[in-house]
Amino acid sequence: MGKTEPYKNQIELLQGTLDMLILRTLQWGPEHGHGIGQKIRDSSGDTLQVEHGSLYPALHRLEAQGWLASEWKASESNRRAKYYRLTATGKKQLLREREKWTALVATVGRILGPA
Amino acid sequence: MRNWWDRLKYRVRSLRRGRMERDLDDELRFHFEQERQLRMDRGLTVHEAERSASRDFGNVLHVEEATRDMWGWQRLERIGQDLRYAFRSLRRRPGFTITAVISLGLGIGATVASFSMADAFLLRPLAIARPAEVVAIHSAVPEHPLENIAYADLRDLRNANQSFQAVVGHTLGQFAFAEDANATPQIKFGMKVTRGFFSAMGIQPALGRGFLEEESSPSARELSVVLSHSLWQQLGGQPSILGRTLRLNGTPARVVGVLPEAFTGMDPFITPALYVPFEAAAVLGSQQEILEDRDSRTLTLRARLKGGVSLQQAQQELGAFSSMLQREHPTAHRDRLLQMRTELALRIQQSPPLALMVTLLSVLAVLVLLIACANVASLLMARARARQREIAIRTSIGAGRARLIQQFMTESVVLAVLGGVAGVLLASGFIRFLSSFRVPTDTPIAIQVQVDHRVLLFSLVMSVLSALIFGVVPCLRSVKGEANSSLRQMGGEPASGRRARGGNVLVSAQVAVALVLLVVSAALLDAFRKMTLADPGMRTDHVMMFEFNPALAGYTPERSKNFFIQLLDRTRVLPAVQAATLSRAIPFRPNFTERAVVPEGYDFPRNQSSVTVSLNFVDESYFDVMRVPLVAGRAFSSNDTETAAPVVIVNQEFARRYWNNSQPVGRRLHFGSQPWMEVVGVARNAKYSSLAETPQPFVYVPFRQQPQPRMTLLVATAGAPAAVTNDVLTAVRSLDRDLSVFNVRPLDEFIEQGVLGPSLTTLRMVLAAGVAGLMLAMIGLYGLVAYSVSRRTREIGIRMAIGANRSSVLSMVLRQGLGIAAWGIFVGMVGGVPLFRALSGALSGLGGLNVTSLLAAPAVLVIVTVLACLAPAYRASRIDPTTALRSE
Repeated sequence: MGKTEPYKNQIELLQGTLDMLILRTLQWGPEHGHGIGQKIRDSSGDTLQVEHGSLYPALHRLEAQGWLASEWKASESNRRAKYYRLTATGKKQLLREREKWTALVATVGRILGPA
Repeated sequence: MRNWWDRLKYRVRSLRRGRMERDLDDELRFHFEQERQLRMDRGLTVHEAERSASRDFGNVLHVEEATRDMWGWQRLERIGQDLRYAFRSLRRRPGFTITAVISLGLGIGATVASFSMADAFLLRPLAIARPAEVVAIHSAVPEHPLENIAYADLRDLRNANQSFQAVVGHTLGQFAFAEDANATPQIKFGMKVTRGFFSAMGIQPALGRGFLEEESSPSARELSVVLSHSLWQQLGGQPSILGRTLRLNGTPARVVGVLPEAFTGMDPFITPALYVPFEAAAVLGSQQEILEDRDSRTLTLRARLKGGVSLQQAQQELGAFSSMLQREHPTAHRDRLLQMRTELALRIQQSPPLALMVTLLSVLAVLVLLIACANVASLLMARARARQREIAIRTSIGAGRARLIQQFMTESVVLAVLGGVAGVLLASGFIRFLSSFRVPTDTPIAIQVQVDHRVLLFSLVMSVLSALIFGVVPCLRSVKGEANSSLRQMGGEPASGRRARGGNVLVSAQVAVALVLLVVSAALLDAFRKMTLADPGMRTDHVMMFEFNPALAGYTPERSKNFFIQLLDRTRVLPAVQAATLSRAIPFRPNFTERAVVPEGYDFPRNQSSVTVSLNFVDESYFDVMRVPLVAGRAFSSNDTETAAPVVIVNQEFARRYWNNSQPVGRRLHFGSQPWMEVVGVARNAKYSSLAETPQPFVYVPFRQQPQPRMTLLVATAGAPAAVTNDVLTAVRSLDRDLSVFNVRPLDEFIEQGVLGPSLTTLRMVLAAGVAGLMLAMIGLYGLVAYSVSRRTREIGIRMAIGANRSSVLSMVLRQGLGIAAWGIFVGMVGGVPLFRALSGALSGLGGLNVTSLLAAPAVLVIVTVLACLAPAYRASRIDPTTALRSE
């Protein structure tokens, strides 16, 4: 039976980009670490698979910086899991990151010229 | 705002490390279980799902590490680990640790001690408010760049300047101080200060107040006085002192304030006991003209700059003011300029030798520190080789290079801090020893060399700096180059030429310095011994001295003379008194009068018309009482009065130098513009300014013919000299109740403290330096030889394997050490020749540099070298060839 693993298109995510994606994901409500990874993968159409080795340090760093807050709740499978949510400053940070990203894309686009 | 709170909450939570760890564990486990579930949902069995998930999960430890990093406590933890490890490894090698700490202690101690001295003499700011704003103003003429200023000039400057908030002046004076009308006055140093002094300098009295306007004015009718903290303590330290009336120079003075303990005067040396208003000259008994006369230059000025005014601007204005003074008062101010200086510049200029000495000491101390660091570095390198194995293992299990470097630097810092503590202890012991030396005078010279917070901060900085200096190279060396080949080939290479030679040169240099210090120490020791046995040429035992300065109380020279004659008469009849005489000068104190003397018939060299000779003014019984025999002619007699012909007595050296010993009695000489005086006797040579001096020419003048304002009464006693004190003082009081007496002490005590004391201190300092130099050289030798042995382990193993026995290995190592030392001794002997010659000159009065010192020093060094090399040599001889060849 063994389904083949979906092709892992591992685009290397810059640390700042990962932060932004995490913040974005949590805009829709609190989620635990595994769930965040899944959501990023789903909403990128399976192209972005975040390594948990990058995910968890990022989550803890964001929490240390005060943009996320965490609490232990029961998951869908009724197991204990650590849920993260955006804080007020986290929301502001997300907006800032978005602006930075848009500006970056525009600049790089100008440099590369019309495709 | 909110963010800060969230971060704080996180920080607080993360304090509970255990909890965080468990939570992380649970979190990752949850993730793993989710992954497993996903795979099971896709159809894998439990077992397969777990294997697949765990393969994808990868290295849990790694994730945990990375996450922990985010918690931010890693760095602190690492430092704690390093510290514990450093202490452990230092404790395991006590010999190394003690040697390194001693070495560093000497180096850091030297710098701390010299900094304390520099601080006390030069650097410590005055205890006034905002000292950086205050400058000192003096006047300068071409011959004398640092002269005082007249009151009238101060007044003009104060009224007509733009740059200064305030301008005040001060001057020191001696006062006859008595608590009340019946007490015997004592001489105290006081400071006369101009109007507004305390407020301008920002000195807040601890009790009472400063001087009011009307007290600081020429029309003041009463004298007010402000006491120093220490004088107040001497008088009982009670608040009731305010309003009390004391006596200064016989005048009643009312206490209006007491200064805080922190303020000890306007220069680092003299602490005035009391302060009086300068303008109250009339009441003080000084001439009124002092307030108007532009030639009476007595004041040192201090001025506080206005905010925003730079030093250059102020100096410019001062220059313009000087020009104005030159125009308006051409005679008083010819070629005279007013100049301002910062406190530091002033101190340096006031005593260039002192500034030079302090700078020299500091440079020496830094050199000592560098040498100590070099020693410790070589000790560390010797040890580093022994740690190769440890480093190799740690590198192989993943320790990064940065981590290892951090570890080793931590060790260095720990060593350095320990050395710093040892250094501070050494320095404060040394300083306390220096301070215990008392100058036997009544002048309140109180240099406060102490270990205060500035000094401690400095020593901490020095410790860290030295850790960087000595720690970096061995650390890098052990982590970088040699670690690479460590696992493969150990203890192989022989000492590579350039590096080894550098180490040899440094150690040889240390040995050379140690040699010079040892020679100087031995020579000074010998000289000191001779000095204690030296014959001063006059009586010093059982003599009590009493010094007078009647001019302070307003006596004219004639009245002084009569007073002294009467005093002699009264003293001579006292019971315990054997004899009494008068002398202007006390031997070995730098206060001899010098005059330009013209000996009759002497052939002067070109450009000279007189010779400068020291004089003493004595009573006719002087030679008898002080046991200075006359080898020709006669002593003074009571016939040599002011109306008789002027006579003098010269000493043997004078007769020899200027008259070639041919019939000195009957020849004549004169001073400057005075009439001729006849030589009536020749006295035996004595020591006058120093026990180590070569024979000096000397002239005695009868005090009756040339009365002096200051004379010392010398009382010879049968029993203890101090026993006559009260009787003599009573005799003095019977002649004049208000006259003060000072420097009352036995002559031998004075000589012991005043003459031998400084020499003993110098001797101790040089001995300490010699011992320190020797220890450093020894440590340096040991480090070098130990390092060399550790590098040559393999070679030594080979030698022993092919037949060398233990004793030949031992002698090989010893020879290496002795070779380095021999170079050092040679360089030291040759290079030290100029110093030795100078020393011999300075000690010529005591026989110069003796040969024993020159021979003993190298001998001591050879012994020390052997001792230093013994341990490494022994270790080398015990090397097991099989172990050495296999590898460490």
